[in-house]
Amino acid sequence: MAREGVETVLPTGNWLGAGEAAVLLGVLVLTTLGTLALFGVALIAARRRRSRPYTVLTVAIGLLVVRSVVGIGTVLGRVPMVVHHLVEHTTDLAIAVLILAAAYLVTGATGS
Amino acid sequence: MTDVRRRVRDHVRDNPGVHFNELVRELNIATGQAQYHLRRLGRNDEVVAERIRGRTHYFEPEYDAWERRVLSLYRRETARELITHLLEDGPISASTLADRLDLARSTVSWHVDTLEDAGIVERSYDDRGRVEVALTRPEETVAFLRAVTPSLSDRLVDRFMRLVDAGLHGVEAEE
Repeated sequence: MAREGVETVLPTGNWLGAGEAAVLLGVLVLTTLGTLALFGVALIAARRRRSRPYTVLTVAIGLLVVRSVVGIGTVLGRVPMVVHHLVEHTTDLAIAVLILAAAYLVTGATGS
Repeated sequence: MTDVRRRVRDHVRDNPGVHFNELVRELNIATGQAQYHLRRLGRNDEVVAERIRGRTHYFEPEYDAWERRVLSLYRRETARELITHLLEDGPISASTLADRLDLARSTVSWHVDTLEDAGIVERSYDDRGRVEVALTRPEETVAFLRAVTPSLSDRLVDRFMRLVDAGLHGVEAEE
């Protein structure tokens, strides 16, 4: 019954069984909590420092939270697989670019 | 005076320089409730708020402004370590401080800025143009050494900043 339910909800093909979905969901919930905690710390640090590298880094960490949320959406069948891959890999690129930007911005961004 | 307000006042009295979140957590009261009572206590001159770098600390009115700043900053981990080193060894160059605390120069610089604004330390330049940091009022500062520990979340943010600074600035040449 439950298995049928999950399968009919997913519009993305039979890529996930009910048991796997539960495990994956558990992992994703933990990931969301973890990335949210990290994001919170980064946000407070950015607010205290008010420097561009910190702000950029915080946005990058914020994207990690977005990734986790999109992952949950996919398992629950709310986010189609195509959108999922598009978002996940675009955020990967964005995170890489943002961290590089943060490193680049450091030169001269901090006075002595 | 209501029971909650008395508890808030007593907590501030027992923990000079307590930070808002810490007070809310320790007393297990609602944020709005704490805000309300702290505001009322402030209006009656029973509690004084001190805002440094975006965080508010609370005191009894007995402490003067400088004492409030010392205690507020002494509740923060890295600032506390900086003060401790200056207390033990007297004036130290900024680069020595960075080495001893194993911090990036930019981290030290930011904390020294904060402490300098608060009138706790002062910068001077030696004959080779290097920055030297010293306590502005060493004797008075010693008098305020108390067993206050930074909260867990404070430490987390503090260490995150160290990590980022070490990663982003650590390889920079010393000026």
